[in-house]
Order: sequence, then C-alpha cells, then structure tokens
Amino acid sequence: MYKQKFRITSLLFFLILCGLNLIAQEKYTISGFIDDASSGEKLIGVNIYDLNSEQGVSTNTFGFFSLTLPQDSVLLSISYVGYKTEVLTFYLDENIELEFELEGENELEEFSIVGERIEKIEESTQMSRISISSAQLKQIPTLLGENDVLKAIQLLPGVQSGGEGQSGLYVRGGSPDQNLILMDGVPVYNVSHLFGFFSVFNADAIRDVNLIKGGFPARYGGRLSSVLEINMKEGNTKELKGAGSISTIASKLTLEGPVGEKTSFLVSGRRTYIDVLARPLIAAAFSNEGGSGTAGYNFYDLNFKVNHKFSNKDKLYFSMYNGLDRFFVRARSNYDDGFNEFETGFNWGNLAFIGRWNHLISEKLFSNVTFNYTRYQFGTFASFEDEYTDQNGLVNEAFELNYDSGIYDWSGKIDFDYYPSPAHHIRFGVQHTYHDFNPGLFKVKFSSNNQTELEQSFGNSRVYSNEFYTYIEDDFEINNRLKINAGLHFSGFILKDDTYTSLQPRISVRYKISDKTSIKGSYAAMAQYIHLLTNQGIGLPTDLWVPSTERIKPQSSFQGAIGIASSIFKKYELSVEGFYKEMDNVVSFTEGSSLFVLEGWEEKVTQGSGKAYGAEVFLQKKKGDFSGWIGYTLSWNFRQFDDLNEGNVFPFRYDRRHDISVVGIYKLNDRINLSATWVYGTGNAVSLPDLRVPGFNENVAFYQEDFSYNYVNTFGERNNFRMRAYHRFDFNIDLRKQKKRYTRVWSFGAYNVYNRKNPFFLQTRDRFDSEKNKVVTELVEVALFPVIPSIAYKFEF
Amino acid sequence: MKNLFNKIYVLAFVLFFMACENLEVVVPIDIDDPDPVLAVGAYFSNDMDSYNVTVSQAVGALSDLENNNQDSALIQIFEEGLLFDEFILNRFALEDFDQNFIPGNNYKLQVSKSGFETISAEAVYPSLVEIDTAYFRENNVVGEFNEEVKQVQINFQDPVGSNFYEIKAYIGYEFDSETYFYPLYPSNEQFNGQRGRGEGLFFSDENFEGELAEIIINYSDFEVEEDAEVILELRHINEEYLLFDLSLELAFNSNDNPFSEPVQVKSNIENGFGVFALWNSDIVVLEN
Repeated sequence: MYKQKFRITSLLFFLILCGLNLIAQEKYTISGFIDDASSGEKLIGVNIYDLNSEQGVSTNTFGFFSLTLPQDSVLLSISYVGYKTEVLTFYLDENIELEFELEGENELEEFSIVGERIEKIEESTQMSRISISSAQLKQIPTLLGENDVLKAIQLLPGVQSGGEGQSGLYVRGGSPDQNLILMDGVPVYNVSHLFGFFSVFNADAIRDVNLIKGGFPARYGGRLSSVLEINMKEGNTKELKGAGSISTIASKLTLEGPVGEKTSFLVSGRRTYIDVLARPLIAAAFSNEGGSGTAGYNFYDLNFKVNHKFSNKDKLYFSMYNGLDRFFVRARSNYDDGFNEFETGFNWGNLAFIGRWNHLISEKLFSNVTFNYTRYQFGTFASFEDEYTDQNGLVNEAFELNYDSGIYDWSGKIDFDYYPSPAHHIRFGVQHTYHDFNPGLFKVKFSSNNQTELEQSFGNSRVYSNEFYTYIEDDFEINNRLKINAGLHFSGFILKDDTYTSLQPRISVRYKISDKTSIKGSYAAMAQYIHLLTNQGIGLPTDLWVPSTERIKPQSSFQGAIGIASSIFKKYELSVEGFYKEMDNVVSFTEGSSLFVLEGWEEKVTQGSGKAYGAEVFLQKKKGDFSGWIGYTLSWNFRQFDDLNEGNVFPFRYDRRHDISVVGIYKLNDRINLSATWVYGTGNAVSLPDLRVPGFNENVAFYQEDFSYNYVNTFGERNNFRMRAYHRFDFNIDLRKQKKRYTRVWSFGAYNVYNRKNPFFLQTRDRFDSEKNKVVTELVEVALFPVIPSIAYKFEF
Repeated sequence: MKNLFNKIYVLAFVLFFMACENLEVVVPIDIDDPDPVLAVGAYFSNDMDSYNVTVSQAVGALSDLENNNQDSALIQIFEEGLLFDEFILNRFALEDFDQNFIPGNNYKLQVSKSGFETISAEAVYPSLVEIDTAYFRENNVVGEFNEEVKQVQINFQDPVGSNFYEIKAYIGYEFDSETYFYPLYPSNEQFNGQRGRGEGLFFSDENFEGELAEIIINYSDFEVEEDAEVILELRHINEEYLLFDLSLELAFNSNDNPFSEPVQVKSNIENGFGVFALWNSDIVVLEN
C-alpha cells in the first residue's frame, strides 16, 4: 500500500516538473477579473481563450484569470454560459491587465440549466462535478414553496436523500458527515433546519453551487465523500437591488447594493412564522386548561456580506452567517396558595464570521487569505418551579436542567493560484484549524426556598485539537487531447497525546477521443479526522460532532472513477461514470446504543469499513425553452464492523440499487414558467426483529416463571428488510409579471402530486384484534407527506 | 399593500394547516412469521444447587404465538461424545441430576420435543480459578447519591489463553436463626466490568491475560448492617454465557427505545435459541 502511494506520488511530481520545464520562452501575460455587467458580481469559470494560439484558461473562485502567451496578435474570446461572448483583438507585446464585464444574453436565459459551467464537459479534467446556478435553484419545485439547495443537489446522480423531506446528502455510498460543505470556503457543520426538512442556506443569497463527488482536487480535504461549495452573492456593485418572497412557511428579504464606488454589501434574512400565527390558538388552548402558556417553533437565517476594493490588486471580503432553530413551551398554573410553572425547549444553530483578502502578487500569482470563526451549538433546558403553602408556611421549590454541546472552530488559510503558462494552473496553500469540541455537558440545579440544595455538572469534558493541511496541485495540458490534474494533499490532526497524519495523492486525467467526446479517470485518497454521531436518518440537532481520539481513529478512503463525457446534438451533454470506493474506520453506534450520548461517547461507538460501487448516467439539456436532466444511478453499498452483525458484511441503510431523477423546466412564454421533477429510489434497508425470545435468567426456573410475560425481541441480520420504493412527482408554475417598479412572481406548486404514501420509517404497533380477542403486534410503515400544495409570492426590484 | 400581506398570511396559514392535517399515514406491512423454535436456558456449574434448565419457545417477532414454557422436553448431555446424562424436564428433574463436570472436557447439550426441531449446543467446562486473596480497601469514594461506596479487591491468577469471568457479591446476615443473602450489585470501572441479566459482573481477561488479576469492585452499602459478612464468588465461565447474558440484557434495556441501535442476542444454540452456560466457581467469605 505504501509502495503504491510512493509510486503515485513520484509520478505526480515527475509530471509536474516535466510540465514546468516546458516554460522557457519570451511571453507576456494577460490577467484580470471578469464581472457581470449588471451586478458587478465576479464570474467563476469564464472561458478566456485565444483563438490564434488555441490556448485558454478560466476564471477562479474570485473571477481572476491569468493567461500567458507568446508575443503575437491575439484573438481573445471571453465566453460564459448565459452571457454574450466577447472577442477582443490586439497585439500582445506587453503585460496587460483586464477588468472586463460580460453582459447577459437576455434575462430569461438566466433560467437555463447550467450543468457544467466551468468548461465544456468534455474539456475539463475534473470529473464527477456538477454545478447549479442560483436561477436554476429557484426553478425546481420545492416542499412548501421553500427553495432549498440541498434538495436540488439530491436530484443529481450519485446523490441520495436519507428519507422523505430530509436534507442529508448520501454521496456515492457515504454518509452526511462525510460531505465537506463549504459556505464561501468555510465548513458548515449542521446544515439542517426543522429536523432536516430544510437546509440552512437561503437560496436568495446564493450565487452558485458546485458539487464534487469524486476525483477531488488536492485543494480539498477533511471529508471522504463529497465537496459541496456554496458561493454566496458578493453584493451588487452597480445599483441597489432587492428580492423577497412570502411562502407557506417562511418569508425572505434580500437587499444588495453599492456603498460608494469601491464597496458593496448584501444582507439577506429569512424567518418562519408559524409560531407567530399560531400563538393566539396556543394561548387559548392553555387558557381552556385553566392556566396560561405559550409554545412554538421557528428558525431564522441572516446573511451579511460587505466587500471593499482597495485597488485592482487588493480586495477585502467580510461575511457573516447566523442561523438558529428554536422550540419552546412555557406553561403556568395559578392556585389559591401558589403556582406551578414549567418551561422547556431547545435551540441550535450556526454562527460564522469569515474574512478574506485577495491580493494579486503578480500578474501570474494570485493569493487569497481567509480567517474565520465558526460555531455550531445545541442546547436544551427544562425548569420547573412550584410554590405552595404547608404547615411551615410558604414553600418554593425549583429545578433546572441545562444541556449544551457544540463545536467551535478558529481557522486560517492561504491559497495561491499560479499561472506560469496557459498549459499550467498551479494551486498551493496551507490551512490550520483549532477545534474546540464540547461533546455534551449537563448542569442540574435544585433549590428550595432560594437555598441551593443540589448543583451538579456531569457529561463529557471538552476536547481541543489542531487540524492542518497543505497541498499542491497542477492542472496541466500535455497536448490538445491529454490533460491532467495531479496533486498531493497532506493533512494532520493533533490531539493532546496523539497525532495523526495522512498523505493523499490525487489525480484526474482527461483524454479527448474526438472534438465532442473525452474519456476521464480519477483516483483520490481522502482522510477525515472528525466524526458525526448520528442516528442515520433524521437530521436531529442532537447529532454530535466528535474528534478522532486515541481509540477512535480517523476515517480514510480511496475512490477510483472512470467515465466518458460528451456534448451531443449541440444542446445536450451526456456523462457516464463508474466508481469504486473503499472506506476505513467509518463510525457507527454499538448495538443497543442510542443517539442521546450523555457520557462516555467513545464506548458507544465502533469502527468498521465500507465499500460502494456503481455507475451513474447524467443526460442534460442546457439551453432552450425546455431544459432539464435525467439522472440514473445503479449502486451497491456495504458496511462491515467487527462488533456488529457478528462481524458479517451487511448492506448500508442507504444501499439503493436504483435511483432515478428527472427534472424538466419549460418556458411556456415570457410570463409563464413550468417545472416538474420525478424521483424514484429503491427502498432503504432497515433492521427488523426476527424473533421474540424468552428472557432467561440463571436464577429463574421454568416452573417459577411463565416466559409469556418475560420476553424481548432480537434482531437477525442487520438491515434485513427493504422498505417499499420511494417515488414522487412535484410540479410548479411561476406566473411572472413586470410591474412599473418591480417584477412579481406568483409561484404555485404541489409536492407529491399523486399522493404516494412514501415510507418515512417502520415501527411495530400493538392493536386490539376483536376477532382474536387479544392485542396483536403489527408492522406498519409510516408515511409523512401526502400531496402538499404550496404558494409563494416573490418580488424583485 | 397591507391588505395584500394580510390576505397572503391568512392564505398561507390555511394552506399550511391543510398540509399538516393527517400528515402521518400508516401502511400495514405483511411479512411471514418464522416457525417457532425451541429456546433453552441451561446453566450448569460445580455447585449442584445452581443447576437450572428452562425450555420455552422463540417465536416470530410479530407472531400471535406466545413464549410458553415447554415442559416434558427430553434433555440430553453428552461428555466428549458419550451420553453423560438425560432426563425429561419437569419440576423435580434436576434434583436427581448428580454429575460432576470435568474441566477441559467438551459437553454437548441436546434438547428434543415433539413438534420442534431438535436443538443442540456445545461448550468446554472451564477450569477452577481460585481467589488468591480478597480484602476490603480503604477509600473515600462517594456514590451518585452521596452514599458511601465500599471497595473490595480480589486477586487471582488468570490462566493462559482467553478467559471469561463473572464476579458476584452478597451480604450474608442472620435473622431469626436463618441466614439470608442479599446481592450487592457490584460495579467496576477499572476493567469495564459489565452487568448482565443478574446481579453478577462480567469480565474478559483482555487486560490481564495470563497475569495476576487485581480487580477492585465497588458496591453501595445502603441498608445492610456494618458487620455483615461479604461473600464473594468468582466464576470462571464459558464465553458464550457472557455474550448471551450481556446481549440479552442489552436487548431488554433498548427494547422500548425507538432511537436505539438493533441488538442481536448472541445465542449458542444451533437450530434454536438460548444459552448453554457452564461455570466453575470459587467462593470466599470476608468478615467485616
């Protein structure tokens, strides 16, 4: 294994050095930024291509590009899907800096599907990558009219949802904790609102989304299964713009605009309001019971971003995200001689502060420095106060329980983009994160007549660790047919007494077999030092992030993929990929453990291995009145743990043999847009008890106890039962009208149009059977969402 | 504008509650019940008073059948392949069972009952592991409820190879000329001793394999008089007994928790369910 790694590593360095040796001619550099003409937003992945020399590059995450060409006349084409292509002609005899703006083709073109924005699918070395634009997100039918980036990602091949309505992503056999979800380059830990039914990302504040399922470039690390980059809007630099919506469950408002010539801002907020609407009804219900009280649930998100351009070489970005879910119940009953008051609830949320500084060191070297603080916190509380009078007088008794868990990160990194020649794009950088884990602490207090009788804390102590990585990668073109992205990622995790390190080679190769078709292959080794203790299903806030320890080792994986990518019939793109992935040290709860980890979480966790393989087909139409895609995944997914299932291999809960998604968006005319999705997935594998067995005990003889009354269920093979298949059809219609000062859209939709009773979970229930005249136990599938209509009013100005 | 917002709010509210109404739909699922199989709990040791054999039936988890006891089953025990003893199970059957198990020998249990497939299990009878020393330890440990926690240390030589133990502790006291035994439910954090179905504490020797074992057990002494004697029993057990007892207890503890991970009860009975448990025990009495 080590020999193999060494050989791959040596090969990568050899290839990089060979490529660099080719750079030895008199050349000049064209560099700069490409912006959107109407908003001033940086455009990512714009193609800048010299038609004379047939050399080109694309813009990076900050809209920067650098193209070095020999002294000669240049016919520079600047193109981007959905924008007018511009061609510049000039003679290149000195270094040139460009600040260029591209104009959109027309407003409605924005709604076209953009599958692989960065380059044509057959050109890019990157495989297993799909991008989604903000406009596309807003077109896909949604649950309760609330656009959701993670729900849209679930419609892509190789990505599965955990269950009905859930936001968790299961990518190529992985689990949700194995996804590196980056918001403006910074990891977000808990991405769920409302127990996983909505994600924390406000679609109005999102610029674009990129998902990488395999062939990971060396600049990414820390998770095994996917990278999901969510880039937030930077803020319009031209004029004040706004957008908002009122949907069945939440309202949103986004404002963005310039502040002077060099600064822009964006502020976006979203809040649910069912608690506000229901408050009078709840108060009335408490009143009917003879007391007073309130209860409710809500969540909110707030995004804020401000950017300042000091010069063409220096730009500063500051962004903040704050989101919180909150559930609470308060009740009070008054009596003649006192009262009784009860309060309970829980809340959880993310907070992130991100600062970034772009600096252009030279026309060929771009740097980005990022500092951030992120926090995910979960807390629950319960208090009870009772006041009454007895023979000794007035008595007041109070009890309080508080629980807190969370993860707090301070992080810094610097990334460089170096463009020595059109054939090379070298990236390198280093990152460090200080983690502070709070795996759960309880505080209990009991007082009587304001005197503390008991005050105690118990739970898991905090764990502090340092995580770092460094990387280098080169995306280089050997000739017109062969292009390679090769790199190394070295990472480490330092605990008090333990240090783990990992060297991860990465390589992706593209070979064009014709102008429209290429074959691609990739290999990526990954390591993950933090783990999520979760119940494998619903995204509960009690899910706990914990670090690797002396006992719990880091997770690792390798994934190989091979595929073919082709542009067909001008407007279609087809990719077919096969993948094979092995994972080590994946975590699971031990038998009988539950998700509420009070103390000693390490004892409740076991580690094993996983294996997934399969094939994906993705056919998409990117332009025209009708656009959309069909995705199909055929896959197998297994787990093996020495401590589970008697050490035997078993199917993972989300071992889904067939997964199909069909997405269609149709622009009927300038005012009406129709969209629909249909999804199908093989049923989840779940464990059912197979036998009801007597509760033997050495001390109890058979004539002393009838085991009819002392029995328990035992499970057989793990995940031995398949739930019924999941399928659903959603539909949406947007009615758009340009008003004098703004554009309004009425959006009507329906989730699960044909009212399929999709299984959410299985359970056993006791029921009295009148024919048998006794209580019988039966197995039932519980379905959650029937057909759900939605309506939303949206406006933009 | 205000009017419009009011209308939207009302509409949204109505739609939301329409959507939420009867969200949960229950779909009954039919699955075939497996046939009932014999279930046996067979416990044998060097103490004839603790022999115990119980025969019942294991049925499908969703079956209408009950786990009725099955008396009149034929119990056969073979030693190194030869019939060792046999009897029909009834209330008094074990009173006549008078056999000495020999350490290191292989024993096979076979249970037959008409209407069921014959079931069997094999196990090796463990050697006697004697307690070298046992004594009370001075300590200042305080329990969860601020009660005094007492400690006893037990030392013994662990034989070569994988071994498994159960430690039991009782208080013995006289009342009306009778001796009563009160289980102490000991605990141990030192080697992660685990509680099973009964009052014993189970260990494997992974932390002291082939060495002198020095095990400290804790117990909370709430009600028993200070001068009562403490009886310690060290059982050298077969691994299957430990696995069965701990997993069965885990299944009972997690059975009603919908969030707990599934538990496989680890039976060592072929074609059926249950345990064939063997142990060899040494007992010491500590005077307070």
